Amino acid sequence: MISIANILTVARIEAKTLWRSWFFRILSILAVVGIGLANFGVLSHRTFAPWEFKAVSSSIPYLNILLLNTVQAVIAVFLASDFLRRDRKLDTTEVVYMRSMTNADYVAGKTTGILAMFLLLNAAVLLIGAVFNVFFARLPFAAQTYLYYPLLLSLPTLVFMLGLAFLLMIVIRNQALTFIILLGYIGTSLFYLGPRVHHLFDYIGFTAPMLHSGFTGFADPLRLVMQRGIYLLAGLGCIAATIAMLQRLPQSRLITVSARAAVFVCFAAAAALAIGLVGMERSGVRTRERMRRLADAAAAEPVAVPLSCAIDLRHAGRAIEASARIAVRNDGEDPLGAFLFNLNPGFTVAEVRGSGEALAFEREMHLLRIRPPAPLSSGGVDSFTIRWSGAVDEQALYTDIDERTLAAASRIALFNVGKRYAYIEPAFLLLTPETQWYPAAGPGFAPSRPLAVRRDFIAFSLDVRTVPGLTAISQGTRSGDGNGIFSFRPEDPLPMISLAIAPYENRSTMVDSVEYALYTRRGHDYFSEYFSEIGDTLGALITDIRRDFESTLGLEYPFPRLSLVEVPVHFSAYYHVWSVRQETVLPEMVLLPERGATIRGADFSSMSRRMEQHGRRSNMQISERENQAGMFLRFIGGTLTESFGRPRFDSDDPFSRMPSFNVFPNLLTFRTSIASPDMPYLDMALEGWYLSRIADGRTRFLRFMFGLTPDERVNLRLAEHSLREILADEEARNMAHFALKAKGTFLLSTIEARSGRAALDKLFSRLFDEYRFRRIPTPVLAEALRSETGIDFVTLAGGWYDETDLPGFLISQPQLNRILDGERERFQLLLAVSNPENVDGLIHVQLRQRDLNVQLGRGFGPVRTITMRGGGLGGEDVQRYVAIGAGETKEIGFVLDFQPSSLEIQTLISRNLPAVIEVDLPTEAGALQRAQPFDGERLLDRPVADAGSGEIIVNNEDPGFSYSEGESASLLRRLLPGRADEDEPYVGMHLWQAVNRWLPTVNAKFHGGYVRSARFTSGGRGERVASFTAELDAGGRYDIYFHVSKIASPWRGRRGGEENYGRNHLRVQHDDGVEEIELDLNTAEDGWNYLGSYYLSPGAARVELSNRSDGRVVIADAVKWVRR
Amino acid sequence: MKISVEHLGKTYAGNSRALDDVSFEIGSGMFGLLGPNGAGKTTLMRILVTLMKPTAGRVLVNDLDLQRHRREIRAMLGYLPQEFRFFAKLTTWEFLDYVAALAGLRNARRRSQAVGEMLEQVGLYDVRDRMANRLSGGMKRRLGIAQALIGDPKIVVVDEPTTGLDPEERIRFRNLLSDMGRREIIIILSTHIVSDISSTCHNMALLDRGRLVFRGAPEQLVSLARGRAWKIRALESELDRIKAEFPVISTVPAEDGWDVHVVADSLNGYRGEAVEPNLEHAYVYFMEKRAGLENMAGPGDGAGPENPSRKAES
Repeated sequence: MISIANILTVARIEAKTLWRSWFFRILSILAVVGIGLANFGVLSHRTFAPWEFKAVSSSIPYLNILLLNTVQAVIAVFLASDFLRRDRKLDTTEVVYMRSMTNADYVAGKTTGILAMFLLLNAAVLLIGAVFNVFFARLPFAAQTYLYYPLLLSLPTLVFMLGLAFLLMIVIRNQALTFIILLGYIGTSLFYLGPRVHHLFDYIGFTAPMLHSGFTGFADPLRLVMQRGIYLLAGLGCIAATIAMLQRLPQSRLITVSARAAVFVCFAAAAALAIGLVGMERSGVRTRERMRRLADAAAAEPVAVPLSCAIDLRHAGRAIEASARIAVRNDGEDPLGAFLFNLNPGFTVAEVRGSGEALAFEREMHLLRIRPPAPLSSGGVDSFTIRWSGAVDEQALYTDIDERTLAAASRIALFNVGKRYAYIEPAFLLLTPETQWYPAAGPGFAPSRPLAVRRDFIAFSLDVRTVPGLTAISQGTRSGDGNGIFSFRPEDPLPMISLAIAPYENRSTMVDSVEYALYTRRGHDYFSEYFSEIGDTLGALITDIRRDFESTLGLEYPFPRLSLVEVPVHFSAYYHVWSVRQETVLPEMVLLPERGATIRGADFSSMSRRMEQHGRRSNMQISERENQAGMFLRFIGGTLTESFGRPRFDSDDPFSRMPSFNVFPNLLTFRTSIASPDMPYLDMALEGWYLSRIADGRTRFLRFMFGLTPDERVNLRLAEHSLREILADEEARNMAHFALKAKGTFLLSTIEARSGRAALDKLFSRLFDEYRFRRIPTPVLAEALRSETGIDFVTLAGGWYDETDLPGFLISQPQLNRILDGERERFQLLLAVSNPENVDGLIHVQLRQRDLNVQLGRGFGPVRTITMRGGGLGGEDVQRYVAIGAGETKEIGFVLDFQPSSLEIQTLISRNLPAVIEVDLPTEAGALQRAQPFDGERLLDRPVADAGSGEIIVNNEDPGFSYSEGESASLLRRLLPGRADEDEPYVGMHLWQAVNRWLPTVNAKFHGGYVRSARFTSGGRGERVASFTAELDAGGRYDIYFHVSKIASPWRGRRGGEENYGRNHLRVQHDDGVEEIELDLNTAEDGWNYLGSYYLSPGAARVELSNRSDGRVVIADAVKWVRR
Repeated sequence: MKISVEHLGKTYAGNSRALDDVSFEIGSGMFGLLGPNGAGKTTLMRILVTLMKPTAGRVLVNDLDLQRHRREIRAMLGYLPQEFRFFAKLTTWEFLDYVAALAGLRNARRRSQAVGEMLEQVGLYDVRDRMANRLSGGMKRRLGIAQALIGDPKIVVVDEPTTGLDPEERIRFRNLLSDMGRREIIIILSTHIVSDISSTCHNMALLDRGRLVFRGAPEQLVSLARGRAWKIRALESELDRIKAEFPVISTVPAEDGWDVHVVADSLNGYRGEAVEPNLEHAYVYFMEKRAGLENMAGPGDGAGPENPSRKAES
């Protein structure tokens, strides 16, 4: 039978020989040193590594084991495939084989020996991590995670890899082949298969969601154990197969039979787990699909409008027991025979009681139909109590989000974090409105009416019973007995209510009658020490942030409190089509990730260090107090009021966004709604219009990553499809949010262009006050617009929803002159813009009148924030919407006190790519003129022309442009997968990635009409050539110009140094032959560069550009021939 | 102790028959298995040490079937294979310790003692910390016999143990085996070197092309050749003719010519004197006789064996 002694004997020797293998030693040492350095670089608070790595305690063991696991998978392949080869090579193996032990003893011994050595390596790497954790990173030490990661990551990977390698060696009997197959498998699973099919093929666990939260552990422990279990079992199955097939006469029939049975059992169990895992995902897909169908079927049903909702909830471990007294009114014209509600299908409705009697009700998935004894007459009010219990079915959430987005990993740095949307756990509960934790009116999201989501303002109240020691947080005035009983009474009707329960500790301050509170989990206070000095100025800082935000938006914060609530790092949210709001932002509440994990400004340790260094470098005396104030402004101001959903650069979905914590919805979305059944898009239009006042500012990075910004992608789609069509397209749900926002912004901006911003702001401000926490009826809004701006809103909005044609803008070079305005010397900027298309267009022009380089610098914290606020030298930004009708050309004039430093034109919804154009301004203003100052817009007769008379321009978009791509550099490069986005109309210029084709990209610097594009390729030996061919009508002497755009990487930091743009090699064909020209881009200017003068005959004239260059990229944009 | 080999057969893939209906018994003591290369000795050895399955027949060890009782029988075995050169990265001590542990010496202290004694016995104690791969050929052989003997095996199988050893090592090795042979165990020595057997074994078997052709004491084999071993005094010019006519055992230079030892039923007119045959004479005579009989049986029976005298070394 199996002998432990034999196993240990074989294991001992195997471990010994493994330890004596230089291959193992060197790789182990490299792994340990590499991971140690990575730990130092990433985790030490002395370096400026991303906060993501050090925010969550488990990140240290996770990172170390994740890195080691990838390396050891490779080492294990080599060693394991060596296993039998060595056995065959060594004639001394026979004296071992003829000893009395079973094949199971032998194989198990070998496996144990190798495993033991690798687990020792794991232990070493974890020890390094623990040392860094304790001595360098200011993180709580999460001891259990030091056990979880080796067990969940390393062990299954190793067992699987060893088993597979053993088995392959027995079947294939060739180490080299085995090695190649397994390495190929590792590569495929790491780079290709990993995240697919719900991480099913990810045996290394590199892409499986495994970040362990200090709040709630793993996101989904069951799925995690199942996923890892697949490989542990499959590995054991392979090992059993190795025992059964070992080239040694078996010693025990029982062992042989058992090994065969084990093969079957292990593989069957692994397959069962895999099927179970896929089944769980599929069942989620089916659940959501079914919910959508049901909602669609019920979408036209009239709904009883909820007036009040008094919820009583008991938090009972992993479930809740709740009841709600709900009052409804029939706002329809016909009597209502049923009240349609939606409630998460994970909950069971026990009963519905009317006045003293049980009411009939039907439940179908999330739908709950209550049948009153008699239909509710029009205008009638009824009330009833619903009792329900259970837990949230998280698969039943976000039915409006496409499956690809739902399945996409939520990444932080190297880690796949895992996603959670709702929690009901003994020590933590989080229920946001999306979880449908209380009955809400209507059928929920219905694809046939994607925007018809109800925003009823309801008088909520909430009573909560939970375990003593836990704190409940919700909307409204809180009272409680301090022993697990809480009650919440919101002051005003709200569109939604949420609940969080955890062992929270609370810090709060009253500023201007608003209570600002911070709720963090006990033990998660890593920040107090960084704000020790500013206790007394906190109020002023908060006021500053609030005023700034309110005045930027022209809106007010309407609630008496704002709570920042820490929630587990797994908590995820998506953008719905119909709103910019995410579940991270709730009325009076913002849910911040655990220890600010996804928020850069939350790394106070590094930030304070950086500011100290910055101060030292710039010889500025910045006090600790100023530093702390700066950090506070940056963290609170930056997180809550500045960015709005940063793009995710680690995603291949250009519409993917980081969660937003911007409190904006509190100022607009939660206080009013104008959506009507006829115009369900108005809420989003309003949100988009107000939000456009908060700069996004990340387009430069977006451009380099994805080629086009989401808005530009929307424009490309809108050129062919109406908004209605886009909203109806289930495949385009990600885009629909951006399309609706862009079109909505356009709609209100069109009105603003006619009425001016101040007038429109005033109108809305009045309406919002009048309809505070109520819905604004559409006729009221339409009437207000008509009377105050003269615009027929209904007509305007109607066409806007269904039109497909887009305007396009041609923009002239701006002229900047000094003029005398009375006695004052001022600057006159003139610019012409044409819209040759058949639809009216709108542009937004923004001028900065200060020297950005001096003030914005690249400072941190206080320096940056203060100058942003103070305005510094120079004047205010000047901005204006200009409507340019179909076929019109307008001259736009600005009279300025300071020389403008930048001019940005947003073309909004248009054919223009890029949609936002930074126009180059002359660096020197023209001489003083005595012209009449012109500030405003006027029509011009002559449209903006691209080429002057006698000029012929061949652009890369023209038929005269062609290119050859030559042979790919090497076989390897041809075999490697190309860029995933190569088929997109325009791609990002990944300067770090070699391209062996001419790929199209856009940039405002490029030459072009609507589309400022060029084709780029990697610099090389001249194997790829782009040709510009012009058809000349007349012969003669021509000046030839080449359009140069020097594109620097946006990631070049302060230390960047000079970018090498390389030398372009051009061939100009002319009557006397061909001239080869070398153009040094480092000394060339952006724009048209003169190549020379040549005699050319009528007919085809050609200039060729090869990719021969020592620069990273070669850009083929445009060539110009000018007849002398 | 008793091993019964009953109608044992082994046919490899491609229908090459390595053993054909071999039956014999082995009792305690040294047992020699002699035969030319390719006779099936190693196949028989590997079957005996459970590294290979026979295709026919069976082997009983103390009435236990080798195929069914591998666990018990493996526990009695010690084995030194023909090739024994390449080791895992282990020292001499570690290797022997490993094998000792597998041979059932579980107790670390007793194992350590046994390993030390065994290394002393084979004269490797001084090199116990040297990597086994770095031992000389002779030392490796000694380590081989040490690992075969450790753990007090009841049956020791040694396959061609002296091949490639220098004379001193070979004598030392034979003495070691002889010492072992005095115990109540079975030692099976397979070899194609006749002198290995003559100097150590009381019992032997002769295998030829997979068949058992002789079983008995070496003396019995020798007696078959009595009166058929001759010494011919030959001139240089006669040498080639003699070699062509008789199986030659040895050719020793003498005054005015050569002393040529041959085996033959008669000298066919050559001048020579009968000598007392040794096992080598007997082996060559026996194999020649078999070859002659088979040739008479018909030329179709294969290409015929090589002249064994050409292969046998002295």
